[in-house]
Amino acid sequence: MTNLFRTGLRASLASLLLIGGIFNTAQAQLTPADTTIVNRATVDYSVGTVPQTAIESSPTGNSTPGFDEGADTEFLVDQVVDLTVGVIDTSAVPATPGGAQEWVSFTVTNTGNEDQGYFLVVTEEADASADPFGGANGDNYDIGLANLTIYVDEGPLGSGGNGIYDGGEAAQTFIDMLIPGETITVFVLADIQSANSLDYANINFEAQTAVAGTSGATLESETSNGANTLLLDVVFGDEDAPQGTDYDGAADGTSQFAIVTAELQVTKSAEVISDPFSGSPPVAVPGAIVEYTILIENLSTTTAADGIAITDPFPANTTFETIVADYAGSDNVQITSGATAGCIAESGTDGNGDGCFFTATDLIVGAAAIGSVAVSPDTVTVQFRVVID
Amino acid sequence: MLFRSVLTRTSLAIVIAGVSTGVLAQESERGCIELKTEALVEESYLDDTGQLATRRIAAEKVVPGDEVVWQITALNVCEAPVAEVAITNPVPLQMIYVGDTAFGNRTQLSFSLDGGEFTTPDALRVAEFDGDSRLARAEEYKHVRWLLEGALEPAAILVVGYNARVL
Repeated sequence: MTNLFRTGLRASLASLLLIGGIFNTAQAQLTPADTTIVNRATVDYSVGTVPQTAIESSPTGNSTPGFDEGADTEFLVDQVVDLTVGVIDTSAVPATPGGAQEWVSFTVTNTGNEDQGYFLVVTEEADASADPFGGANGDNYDIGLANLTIYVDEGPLGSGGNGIYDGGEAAQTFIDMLIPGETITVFVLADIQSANSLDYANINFEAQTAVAGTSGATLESETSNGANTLLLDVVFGDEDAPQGTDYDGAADGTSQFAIVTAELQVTKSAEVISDPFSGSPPVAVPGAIVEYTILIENLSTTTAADGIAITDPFPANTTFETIVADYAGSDNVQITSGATAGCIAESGTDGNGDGCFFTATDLIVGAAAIGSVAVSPDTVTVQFRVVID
Repeated sequence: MLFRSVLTRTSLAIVIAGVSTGVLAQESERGCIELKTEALVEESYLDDTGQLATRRIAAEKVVPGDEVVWQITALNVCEAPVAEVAITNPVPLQMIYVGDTAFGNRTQLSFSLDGGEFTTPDALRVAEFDGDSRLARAEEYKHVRWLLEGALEPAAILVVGYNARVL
């Protein structure tokens, strides 16, 4: 039967839910599959002016007067397979290479009238697929299916599940059973191996309706018993084109990972602080003191940079100033907005463990001193001084 | 349902002998109307000329949200006309009446919320919690009644019906 022939007088289940709203039910419950609906009409009439005993109807016609002399006309409510897949994410989910696992999340709702299971499938959309959130960030990267894992919430929402990935979920490719009206959350976790910053990976998630209690192994199929109105048929009622395909017992949704890394920008500037001749302004002559300022900026608006360390070669013909009276305490490196406010760089090794030391050629300011730079517009500034030989 | 006392065709003939001799010819256990109820669904198809057409078939596949046509046929099986023909049908449980779908030639339509009082839609009211009342919505109709205007002649057929949607 083509779609042309299956519509008939069928109202969408959504409109039926609207009718449920009219009656102020929290959620309209569909008539369960295998329910027998019965009907029997009655006719009253007169012959001449004499009222006659009422006659009840039957499926084939009844003319015997009297109560219960007729018979019900019956049909069976068939099993409608219907479902929705929702995308919980409202924008691309940031994920960092090698970082903690990130996830995109979906919901599966049984909108049919019978208990159902589901087989779950994840695919990566092809490059140039559209941004699922309507923006300009189309797919341009594949994470690799081997690096994607489906986790199913501990239970349907309100029945053991909380809709949040909290480590208690099972890694599985099926939902064993949802009763009509139930919704469960599914997470797709990504283990990002490597990627360039600002890559986008579309993740498509599909739920295929299966027979309840089969761990998703037995997919539902449409059945028909022909003209027999009292045998149960299975009818696919999902209408999810163009996102999916109508009447196939499956529904899908697409979310997106945005593969992002921190984007550091380092700027170094120099200022002559003083010269031996007390010049005003001071000039860069032998014996003059020059202060270098290294500005570390994170241009990423989504990803902080951690464990930042810098190694800065001393310019030729300069000597690191180990004692700087203007800095706090004994610090010879001054840090603004870092892990510390400054450190003491010793010669050769980081003897005091504050992250700073210097060699004949370089100044090293380690992660212990700088720490991290949060997302833009956060910055960290490192300053030190040299004397011109 | 309260039925009138059984007045068989034979006894009726005694009472109204002369009104219709044809009545006497009927078997005593049969009434004058054969009443049939069918559950149908509408199906679109391409007719012989390739045009899209609609036909009613048995309700083979019905799922929540579908509309079913309850078609009731009354056939006068006597040799005399019958009058005051009133067909009553309760909307089945798990279904709701679909507004403006009741049909039946030469009939007066009325509806009821409880099977007791039947009236036209413009007079069918529902009490509200605040003491006011409002017109009943079609989906709240619980019974449908057709009253035939005039007589149903021998061998004549009256076809009535309505659409109801499966909840």
